[in-house]
Amino acid sequence: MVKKFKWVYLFLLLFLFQLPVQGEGKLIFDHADLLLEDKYSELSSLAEEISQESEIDIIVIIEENLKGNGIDIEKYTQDAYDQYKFGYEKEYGNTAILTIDLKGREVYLAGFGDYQKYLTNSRLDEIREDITPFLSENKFDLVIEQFIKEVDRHIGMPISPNNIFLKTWFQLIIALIIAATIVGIMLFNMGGKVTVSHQTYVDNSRIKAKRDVFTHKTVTRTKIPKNDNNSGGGGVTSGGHSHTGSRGSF
Amino acid sequence: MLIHHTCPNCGADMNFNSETGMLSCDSCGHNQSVEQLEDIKLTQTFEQDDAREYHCENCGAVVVTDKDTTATSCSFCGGAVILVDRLSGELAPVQVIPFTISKEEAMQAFKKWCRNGRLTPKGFMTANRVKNITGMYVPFWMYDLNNDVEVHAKATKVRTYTSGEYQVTETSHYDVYRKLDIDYAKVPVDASEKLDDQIMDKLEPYNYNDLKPFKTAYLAGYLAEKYNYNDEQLYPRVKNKVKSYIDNYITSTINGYTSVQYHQKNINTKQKHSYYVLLPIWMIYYDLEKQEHNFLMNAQTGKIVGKPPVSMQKVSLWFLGLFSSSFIVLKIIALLLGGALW
Ligand SMILES: [Zn+2]
Ligand SMILES: [Zn+2]
Repeated sequence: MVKKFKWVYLFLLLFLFQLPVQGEGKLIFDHADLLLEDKYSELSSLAEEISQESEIDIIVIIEENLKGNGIDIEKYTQDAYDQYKFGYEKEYGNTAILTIDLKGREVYLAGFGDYQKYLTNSRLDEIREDITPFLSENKFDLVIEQFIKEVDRHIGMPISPNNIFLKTWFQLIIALIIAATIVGIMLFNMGGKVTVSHQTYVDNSRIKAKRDVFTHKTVTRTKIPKNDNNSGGGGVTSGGHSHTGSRGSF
Repeated sequence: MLIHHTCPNCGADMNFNSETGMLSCDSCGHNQSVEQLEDIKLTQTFEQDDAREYHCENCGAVVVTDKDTTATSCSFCGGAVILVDRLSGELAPVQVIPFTISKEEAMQAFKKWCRNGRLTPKGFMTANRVKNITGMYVPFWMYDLNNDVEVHAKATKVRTYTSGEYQVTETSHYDVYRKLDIDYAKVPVDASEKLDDQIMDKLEPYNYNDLKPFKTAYLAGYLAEKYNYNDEQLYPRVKNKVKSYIDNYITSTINGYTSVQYHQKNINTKQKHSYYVLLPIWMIYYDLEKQEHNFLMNAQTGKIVGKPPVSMQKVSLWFLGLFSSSFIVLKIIALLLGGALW
């Protein structure tokens, strides 16, 4: 009985080891044991599915306490990328990482690889703002689900999917303004318009005297506003990999 | 005194022909150039309260005129008559731009303009309801003006850059001074009280290459009127007119600043010359649903001015068309950028 169990265990272990070779590594690192088992596998398969679809590794790292141990969340995320060599179908490839520091109440989102163009600092800010309400309510399964879906929503979009230009109501207003302006100009001009100017009747014009005297200079300095909730952005890992990022607390 | 231009060959009345620029006789086809004609010079001046009756020298009928008429045709025999005593003395025009667009060409051009009216009602576009089309010489004063302009302004150049954690805005302040000398030549102002000033301004420009020394023969076959206001009375209008031109020019001489604030603008306008001239227009009376619409055409360039009727149906169609097409274009761009359909 014991032997049989060992055999099964060995087989399972081998099977699990085979997975990374096929390019299907672990995507969710729940170092705080926060997720129930079935929730974990559900989210893992969602991350797996979206990763394949969007050609980007979607990584979630949950840590018990980074800040308290004097670890910077951004640096931690960078080191994780260097160490695990994340990337879709290659080492150091396209990767989106969400790192959560439970005790430190901090979160860091990073984009690596070519797909940084879809996960710019400002777009990561948008995603972070989307998941922050769930973070504050400690609904971490929803946080992870939302993060995966948002990354999927941004990949392949030349502009942010949240861009106002993509909103139908905005397109309607712009179309309304264009139509009203053109019809207004047509109505205004339909009785003829004045077509003479200075140029029509000028016989001779000259500047007899001109002076442009500098008197004084005024300088104002304003501190560039820094969001307390959000510092950083992207950077470069110790391994020399550049990335985008968004940092915040919850 | 009333004159006819009669044909030296057959004695019939001659009319000015806008195509040839000559007087021509409809009966025998004789053409006569206008430049060589000697005008009758009257020494007597026109009396303001002149309610005199004029009689057609062809048929003896009373020629109907109002107090401003200087040229018309006999309503009985159709002969072109010119009221030369109203074109003499201080009422003598110096120059004239003759008609270059004939009545037929004017009608054609007007029909074309009506067809192109994108917001006018359907019935209007056929232009077969033209009630009347009249060629008329409108009295104008033209002014040669010299303008002495002095401008004091405060201007700024703004430079912004980031330095460390700061956004730095550097504003350089300047005292700007300009002394300008601007000459305008032959700025026209209509001197008829009947015609709307704003509409007349839109008829400009006239091409001054066609300005000819005045001869009464140019008026033969057209209506003409004398001025209601003299050059002194119209001077404020022309001053006001060139003010916008001057403002334009001033702006063009002050470049490279972020903002310009004018503190003092002294414009000293002096009149160098004024000329009394007659400029040609076609007046088109048009009936649509018992409403009369008047249009004016520059009879030298063909430019048409007037308030055409507006079809609310067409306005709405245009609006809807432009609205939906620009919405579709925006939607397509959005879809190409990866947006959703809704
Ligand atoms: Zn003849
Ligand atoms: Zn008669």
